[in-house]
Amino acid sequence: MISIAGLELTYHTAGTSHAALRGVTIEVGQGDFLALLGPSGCGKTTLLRCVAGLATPDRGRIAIGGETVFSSQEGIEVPARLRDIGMVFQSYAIWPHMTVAQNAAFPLRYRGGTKKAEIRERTLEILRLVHLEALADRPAPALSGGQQQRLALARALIAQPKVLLLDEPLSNLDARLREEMRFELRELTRRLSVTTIFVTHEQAEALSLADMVAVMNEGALVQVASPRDLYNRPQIEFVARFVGRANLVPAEVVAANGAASPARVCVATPFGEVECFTTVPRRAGERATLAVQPEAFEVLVAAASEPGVRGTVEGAAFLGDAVECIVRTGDAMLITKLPSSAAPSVGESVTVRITSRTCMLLN
Amino acid sequence: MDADRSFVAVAGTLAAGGATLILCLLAILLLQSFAGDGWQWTWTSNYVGAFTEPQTYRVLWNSIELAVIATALAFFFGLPIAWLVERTNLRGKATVVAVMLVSILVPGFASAMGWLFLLHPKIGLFHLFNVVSVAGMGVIMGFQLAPVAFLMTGSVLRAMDRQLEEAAFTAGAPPLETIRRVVLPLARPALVSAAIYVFIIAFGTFDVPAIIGWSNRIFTFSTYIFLQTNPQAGLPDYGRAGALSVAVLIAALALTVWTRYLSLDAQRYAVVTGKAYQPRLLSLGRWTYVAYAFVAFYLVAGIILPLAVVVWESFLPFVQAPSPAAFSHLTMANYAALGGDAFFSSLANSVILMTLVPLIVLVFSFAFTWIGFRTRFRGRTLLDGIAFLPHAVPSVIMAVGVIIFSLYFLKYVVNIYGTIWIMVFAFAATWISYGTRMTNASLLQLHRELEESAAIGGASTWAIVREIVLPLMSRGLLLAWIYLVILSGRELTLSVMLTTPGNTTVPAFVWTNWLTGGLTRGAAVTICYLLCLSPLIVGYSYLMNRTKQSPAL
Repeated sequence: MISIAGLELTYHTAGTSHAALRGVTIEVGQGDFLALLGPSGCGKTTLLRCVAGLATPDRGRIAIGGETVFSSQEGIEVPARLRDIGMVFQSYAIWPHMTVAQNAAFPLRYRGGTKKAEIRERTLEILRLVHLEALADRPAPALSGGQQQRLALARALIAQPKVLLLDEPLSNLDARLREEMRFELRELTRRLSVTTIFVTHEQAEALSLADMVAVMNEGALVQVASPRDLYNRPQIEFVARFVGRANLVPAEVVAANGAASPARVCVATPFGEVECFTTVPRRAGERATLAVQPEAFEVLVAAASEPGVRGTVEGAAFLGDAVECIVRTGDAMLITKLPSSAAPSVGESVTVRITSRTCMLLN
Repeated sequence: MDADRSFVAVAGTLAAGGATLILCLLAILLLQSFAGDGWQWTWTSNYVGAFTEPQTYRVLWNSIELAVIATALAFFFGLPIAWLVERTNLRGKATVVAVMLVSILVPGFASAMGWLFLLHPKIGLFHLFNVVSVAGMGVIMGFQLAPVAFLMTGSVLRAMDRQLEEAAFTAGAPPLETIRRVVLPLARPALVSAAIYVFIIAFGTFDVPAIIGWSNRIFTFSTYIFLQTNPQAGLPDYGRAGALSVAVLIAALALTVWTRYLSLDAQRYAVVTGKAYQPRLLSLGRWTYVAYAFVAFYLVAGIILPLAVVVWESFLPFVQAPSPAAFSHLTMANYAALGGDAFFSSLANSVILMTLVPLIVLVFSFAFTWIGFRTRFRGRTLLDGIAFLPHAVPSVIMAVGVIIFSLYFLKYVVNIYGTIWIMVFAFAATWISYGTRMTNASLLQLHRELEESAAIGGASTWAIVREIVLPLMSRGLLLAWIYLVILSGRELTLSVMLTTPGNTTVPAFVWTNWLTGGLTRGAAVTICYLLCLSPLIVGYSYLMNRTKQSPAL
């Protein structure tokens, strides 16, 4: 549905230049929900604005539904208003001088030549979908934050665009509302089977919402994967740190693997020999970094005789169902996550080892 | 043509056209300064002529003396009042602000008349000091410019991070020490820019020297230029006027450019945190009464009394102080005399100006603003700078430029000299700087995403401007519009410079009456006119209160 190839964009301001996009290439299938995840300034919003037609790349090609909307080579640039998209902005951009219904109906008046009588009908229909029907004739500024967010969503969807673009739509909501809206958003896009690109800097949001997550760093896509793979099988250090708060453990390959990808490989670590995954061929004796998720550790209290690394609990944060323990082992600090029932207390001596066989050897 | 491109093309043409006209006016002034009668190139002779005459130096010195006194006095009143409003718990601040802002709109010639009636050495009510002197005019200008100083220093204080002051308070510094060691050093760059701005206005002022100095042959720069272009005998000497104008123009531009650097510097200091918190206001305690007395003294002496005297004299056949004898002379004759054609034709002209000029200025200003902030053309900053140019140019210089342009160049296309159109042209060219300041500020308040979401909704640029931008800017535009209507109505300098029997405006009519000895008749015209303008002034201050905006200066 959306095909992006070789997108590059450099901003020049006051003598300095900043590469916002470096050769971004990605395909998004019909009905897919793609999350663009990355720290602020990584270029994710720029990429979204390029798809929307609000920013112009220097090079590359963008096609939506088979139609080329931007191509530096062919000199094509379809303006935003003629692209088949809907968009929810970070600020929601609700027009304060209009009513709720007027806001929602705006795209219908300019897109698709809808008849006047039909406009009202379809407006109420879309407002019903986001539970704002009763407020249709209220002035828009009278809405609460969550309601404004839903109105922005209604406005983006009313003209039944092929593509829905969401720019950090949940970041201005408080925590409880955010959970609620996250669920609603997923439900709605699934029901309408609209292809969606969602920009966020919060990994929990990306992992819980998306079919596919594209992690960006410094203008480049560094890994595109399903949420599960991204969390369990980060390929590089940046992803391991940004997505899962993984611990990075030095490792040495014990036995070489075959050509299959991902392949299993055995590595030696301070925690003993660990079986893990790798996506590239490894030679025996090769040094690499192992990403170990906090819950992949086993932390044993008063078990000095057990194999593993000795350490001290430096801090513990109660999370409800689990406890996050910071364990000092020599110079290193490990983040571990344990069930509440088995948690040691601060200051206790513990033995740490890796029980999981699904850790990822980073490239 | 594509709907988005056609909008940019229209806005770009307007902005480029407007900028070209402004540059033309100034370039022609420069050319004229090198030419004699009939455009024979005489190169430096105008300059030599102007700067070998002792009168020139006397005039320039008069203007500098006037401007220094005026600037000092304007800040003497404006700065403390701004500080009281921004930093203390003084009650009735809203009223103080409203009155200060409204007094900016009182025509300068009106209060100048009042001052003359009050303090003239022979006919004045009091004999405190001789107002018919350069120093006297400086004092009057000081009173008139105090609201400008108030407004500018107020915005400086508002922009300053108060935590810096609170840090000094908590470090145990007493209030006056805090002002001396923290507030003033931090605000200095912005205060210096404000002072230079006030100085340039005072230097180029026309109303006060015209009403007070002219008949006593005390000339300042503006009235001297007027004398060159409207000599009592002989032909207008545009070459001489051009040479003087260019010299002053260069000085004014240099100062203005310097203030722009200063204000860049000021931005480094005056940090706006954007955090909304209730800052501690200084409790005045016993000093409250001193503060009220200070504000009241300014308002009564500076604004109310002069206008009240004008009202009083307008009911008298000749100027006299209130006395039982004077009461018996009270008459409506001056007002009855207004029934003549001359007043109504000048009123009609003023109404035309007040209708057309604000509209033209706002259309052009919006074009400038759009090109400057919503496109990525090279040179868009330059366009904005050109629109700002007339800000630094005394009106009298703009007028000379317009006269020369229309007499020697524009006449081959269309002859506007002597018609109302030359005034429309000059007014609009002069106030494009005000207009663009106001439209810039208004557009900058709009979040870009409000427009972008309309583009995503399928709207073309024309539709976005019509449905989103203009409605959301409407309050700011309305405020700017009323401000420009009032400016167009009260402008004396341009009116007098460009006036001919066919296109007299009310301020020019007042001035003619004044010159021909009808002092009290002039007063009556002024009062009548103020009454006509007052609904606008009231509407303006009401709207300003509602929108919490102030005019861009």
